[in-house]
Amino acid sequence: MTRLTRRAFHQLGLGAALVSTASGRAFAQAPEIVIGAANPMSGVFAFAGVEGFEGGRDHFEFVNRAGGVAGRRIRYVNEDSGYRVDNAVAIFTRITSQHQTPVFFGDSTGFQKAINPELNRRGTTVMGGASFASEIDNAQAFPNQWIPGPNYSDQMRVLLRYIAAQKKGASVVLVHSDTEFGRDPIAAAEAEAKRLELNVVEKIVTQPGSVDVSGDVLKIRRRNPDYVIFHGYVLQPIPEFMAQARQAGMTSRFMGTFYSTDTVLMNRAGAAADGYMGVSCYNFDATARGVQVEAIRAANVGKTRTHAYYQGWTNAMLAIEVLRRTLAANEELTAVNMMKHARALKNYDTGGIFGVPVSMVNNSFPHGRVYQYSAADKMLKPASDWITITAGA
Amino acid sequence: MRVGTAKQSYAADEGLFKTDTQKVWFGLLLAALVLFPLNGSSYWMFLAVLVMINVISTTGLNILTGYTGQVSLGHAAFMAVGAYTVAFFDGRFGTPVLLNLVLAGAVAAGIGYLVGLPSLRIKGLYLAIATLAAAVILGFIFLNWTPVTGGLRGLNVPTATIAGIELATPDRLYWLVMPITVVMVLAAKNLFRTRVGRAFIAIRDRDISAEIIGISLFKYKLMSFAISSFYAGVAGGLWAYLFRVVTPESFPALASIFFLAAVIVGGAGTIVGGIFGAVFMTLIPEFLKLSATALVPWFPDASIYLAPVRNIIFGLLIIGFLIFEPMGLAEMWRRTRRYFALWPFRT
Repeated sequence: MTRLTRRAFHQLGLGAALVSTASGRAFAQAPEIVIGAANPMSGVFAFAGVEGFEGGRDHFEFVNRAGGVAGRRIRYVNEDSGYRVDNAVAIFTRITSQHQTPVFFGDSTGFQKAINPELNRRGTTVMGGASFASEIDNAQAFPNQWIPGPNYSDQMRVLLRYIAAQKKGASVVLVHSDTEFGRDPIAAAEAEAKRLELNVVEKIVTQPGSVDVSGDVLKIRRRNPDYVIFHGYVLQPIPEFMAQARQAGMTSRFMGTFYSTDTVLMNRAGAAADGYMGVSCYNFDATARGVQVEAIRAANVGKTRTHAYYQGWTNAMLAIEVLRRTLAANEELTAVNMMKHARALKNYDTGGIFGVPVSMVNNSFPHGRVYQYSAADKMLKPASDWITITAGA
Repeated sequence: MRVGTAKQSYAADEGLFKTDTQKVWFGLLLAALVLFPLNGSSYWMFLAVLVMINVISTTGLNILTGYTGQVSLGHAAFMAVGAYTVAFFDGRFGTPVLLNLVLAGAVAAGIGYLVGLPSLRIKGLYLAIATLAAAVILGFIFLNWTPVTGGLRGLNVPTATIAGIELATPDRLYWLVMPITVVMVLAAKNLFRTRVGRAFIAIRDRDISAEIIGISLFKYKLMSFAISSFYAGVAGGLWAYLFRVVTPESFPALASIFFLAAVIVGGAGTIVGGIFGAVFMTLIPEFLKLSATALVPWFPDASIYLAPVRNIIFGLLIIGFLIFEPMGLAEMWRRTRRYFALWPFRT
């Protein structure tokens, strides 16, 4: 057995120190920029939290390898919130009390609403996060937050506009969970359907993870709609709905919003998810080109990433862009300055993450596209062109 | 070694503190609470405020479950009532903070009184389910009584302001929460020196016997529900001032389990047990998380891999307590005190 002598041990230590010094030399003069996050790494939303964290982490590594922001290295400090508001607030308080934290990523609508007064009071931190809540898409009430895509109401609008383009006067059933998340876009969806002269023939409310959906499937069958839109679910009970509907010989098309549409989750659902359509603001087109989307592919060879990963990456990318613009303007990293530059993002090239140049409207980026899942190819394929939701259109 | 405590009057026997040592320790505790903000960390202040809110709520549940023997799975819903009451009155009318907190307790107590009505006919698991059902009904009201509760989006809560001082940060809110916690815990302790408290204990130990000796089950069971809910309401009101937003999802059913677990882990039927339980249930997950965070410099993805492990450890700790110390942390505390009181002799 090889024994490590004291001399060899010291030599190894010296070598390690030299390597770490050399790799850190590029950033030696400039202080780090700390970006904090409370992600649900445990609990029911862990699958999204872990992916979201890894998306952010990979982006910051990508940025650091390229020299950081204005020569400053990004340090990403993440902790597990367990998807609990009190935990997330504790994490926010701890990280921001230990580090100057210009950007923080939140894990939920509940947390982002709870921390909003504190963000406004501090005036030193801006926030992106996992929430697409329509309520947060309000620049007056939430002046220091952004949503990394369209809000839930706009996601519904994308789906409904797609439907209207496919079939005039189509009938639609809305199925949503009995949660704040689930109810968020329903009123807006009904208004949009009315405007587009679509018929919302039924609204069904279920528990978020309900299993026995046979009664609800019967309701849908009675209505025999052209489209069924799910919102407010992570995966269950959508495959069960689809499987039972197929067994009942229904031909309705099934659709969902962001968190109900995900390649990895669809792969788990298997054949039952075949043909399922959903809206996303991220670009899953295998032929898409761009610096960011290629960096994602390079960081994930042989892996299929969930929407949450793209969301984490996008939040990180927006944070970096905002920091870069603020520092380039020789301005202090205050919330006012950073949000001024965030709101100045117009026709911004996301390096292929979105398929179109994006603009921040209120607090969100109202662009999306309808995808269709192919069980045979195990991937989401574009079913529509990119749709931008503009006020009054 | 202390060989005994001579009590020379009934008043001394009923005293809140039985010995001078207890008085000294209580004084030291108060001094520690007053000096705690000197740590200068807003994170620790936040945790301190959260712990104290949980102490109030757990003490409330302890009065109902630990002392009166009425199991409740709706405690978090009463906290929600308190939180909504504060949000409504402060947001709509700008009423003073202390009045809002009293109203929060009073409204929660009123609802707790109603929810307690089934306890006259049912007990044990059946009562637990009835309280759970009441929590579901309250949840429905929070969601749908939009003009008052803000419906789906809930209510934002203004910053607590006393004498023109905004209690916007945990550092400042501490000075509101800490005295209220001390007063409420002492009040709970005091309650069990009174006829009312003793009636609660009699009902817990054997309700039929209690009724035979003249204790009105109707009156005292409902009173226990009302007092317990009052505590929950005040705790909910303080929670609202800490987080400044209340939504129908702020107090899920799981939160009721949290408080029940705190009562059991701490030691049902002892005031100090409620305190220990709340501290344990709030801080242990936080310490486990800090441990995982400490590994990040060597193990960058510690938060990914250790998060589930942390929950398992927390769960195992609770199971361990139930198996090895079913009387809870309070019993461990009592043994520790006895050890030092009798030192150098062993019990």
